[in-house]
Amino acid sequence: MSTERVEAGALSSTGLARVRLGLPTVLVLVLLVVGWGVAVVATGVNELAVPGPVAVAQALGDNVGDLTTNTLVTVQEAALGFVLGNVAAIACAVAFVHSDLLRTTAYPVLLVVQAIPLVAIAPILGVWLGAGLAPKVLLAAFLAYTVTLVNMVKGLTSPDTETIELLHTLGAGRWQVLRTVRFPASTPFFFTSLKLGASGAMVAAIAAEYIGALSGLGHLLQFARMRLDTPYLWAVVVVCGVVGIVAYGLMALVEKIVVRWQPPAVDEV
Amino acid sequence: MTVPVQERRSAPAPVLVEAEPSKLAARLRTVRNPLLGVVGLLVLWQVVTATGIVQFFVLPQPVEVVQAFGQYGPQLVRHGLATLTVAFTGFVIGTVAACACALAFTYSRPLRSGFYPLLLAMRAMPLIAVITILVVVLGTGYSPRIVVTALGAFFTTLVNMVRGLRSADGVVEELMHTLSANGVQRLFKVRLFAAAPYLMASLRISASSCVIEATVAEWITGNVGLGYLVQVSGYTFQLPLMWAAIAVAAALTLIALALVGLLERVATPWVPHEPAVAGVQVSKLARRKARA
Repeated sequence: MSTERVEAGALSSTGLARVRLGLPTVLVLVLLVVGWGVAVVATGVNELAVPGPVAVAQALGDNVGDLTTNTLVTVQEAALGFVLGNVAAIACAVAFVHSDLLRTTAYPVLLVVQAIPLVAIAPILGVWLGAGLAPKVLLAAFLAYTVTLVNMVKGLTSPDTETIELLHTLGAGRWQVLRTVRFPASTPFFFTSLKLGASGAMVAAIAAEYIGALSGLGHLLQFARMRLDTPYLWAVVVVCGVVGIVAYGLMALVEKIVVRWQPPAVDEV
Repeated sequence: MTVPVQERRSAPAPVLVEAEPSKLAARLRTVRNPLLGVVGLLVLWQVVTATGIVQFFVLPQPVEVVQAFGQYGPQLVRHGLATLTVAFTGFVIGTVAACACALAFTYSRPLRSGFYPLLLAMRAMPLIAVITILVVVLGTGYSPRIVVTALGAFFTTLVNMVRGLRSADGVVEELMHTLSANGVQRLFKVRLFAAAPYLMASLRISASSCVIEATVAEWITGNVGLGYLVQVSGYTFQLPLMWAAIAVAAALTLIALALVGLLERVATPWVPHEPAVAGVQVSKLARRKARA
């Protein structure tokens, strides 16, 4: 009974940060990698299609320099877009919460825009903005923007009407209500969107690079695929995964430091 | 003596009659502003493109996009159906697999502690990188596209279902235990009901992301589908057709969202559903505030 309670508590808000990477996980990971290696050798699969873990590790080692430079390019694009998108989203969310007209006209339109397969627009962005930094940053910003906008509007409107009415009665202005009630209440919502937006911005930057770029992880993916250098391709995918996980983990860490109180249940995912 | 009774009886009738039009008016009012927003955007788009402020190769006129619908109708339907096939198959496979895994993780501790953190970590993997590998392994047919779409739905639903299955009220669980209910009974009478709203929330998310993922997958591999159409028409500068394809993809997403919303109302009637437009709820609060 008691163990079950403890478990329920530990997993009750199953963010990535709350799940400990224990011994069983490491064991499974090792088993999977070994099984992958054995399976590749045993089945005699064409190494061109499925390389073994050793070949992938070798490709990782051989191309450390290239991988690092290109990762930095992608991270820079994603980070720039991430910051821009979040700032714009917070500004819009504040405007939507305070203006009935803006909210009822513009917010539904933005929700519909959100349904547009963003990444499908990447080819047009190439037409608009060329092959430089701009289309990647814009796409990453747009992805982060939509995620944060929805969550911030939810978060800023989450406090009780009674609390806000009380502050109103005490003669608090809009700015004071925003600072003392709405922003603190929206913090957990904001961090949810930060965690999602961090990996989302990475995906967007990689997708934009895939279309047309001279550097970056998306460019490497395309490059390795064209050369049919499958071990290198897998190595790039591994790097993409690690960067995505690190981005998510970083935001989870910041959340842990900033949100010290028990956060309310937020629809994660 | 009889008079008050009659009064009491006749009282509700006029209220009912009055309620109808005011409800309709309220509904119209909630629809009016979003419609204004959409129409305003379209008009702005038309004006900006027709006067040449925005060049035709950057953004075609909305009128041209509508014409593209007429001109390329059959093509749009064919590619739209291909995307729908990929998105729907992936959605179903991913969701079913996620529910099975979530059940396994709920009842087997070794499985959960071994695999769940790994799967959570994999959630942050850019699927666009994964599909590049899948194309090499599985070829350029439907399968890599369906697998990627299924993966997206899988991760979304897995996290929510694991949480949902454990969200059952501890007191109710203990009560069931006291009533000597076995595991299967607890699952069907308590846990599945507790998990249903979580499942619905994840279905809503994956309904839209499935279409998007299918489109992106088609854009990287394959010779049919809306993603493919977007790319090809982009490269050949048939921009009205490209925008028409994007519009179809967006429409598919919205229809999928509406269908899941419907399912949500039917399957979990006890959950107060969120309105499609979050603003409606907010403006109700605002109106109450204004009155106070």
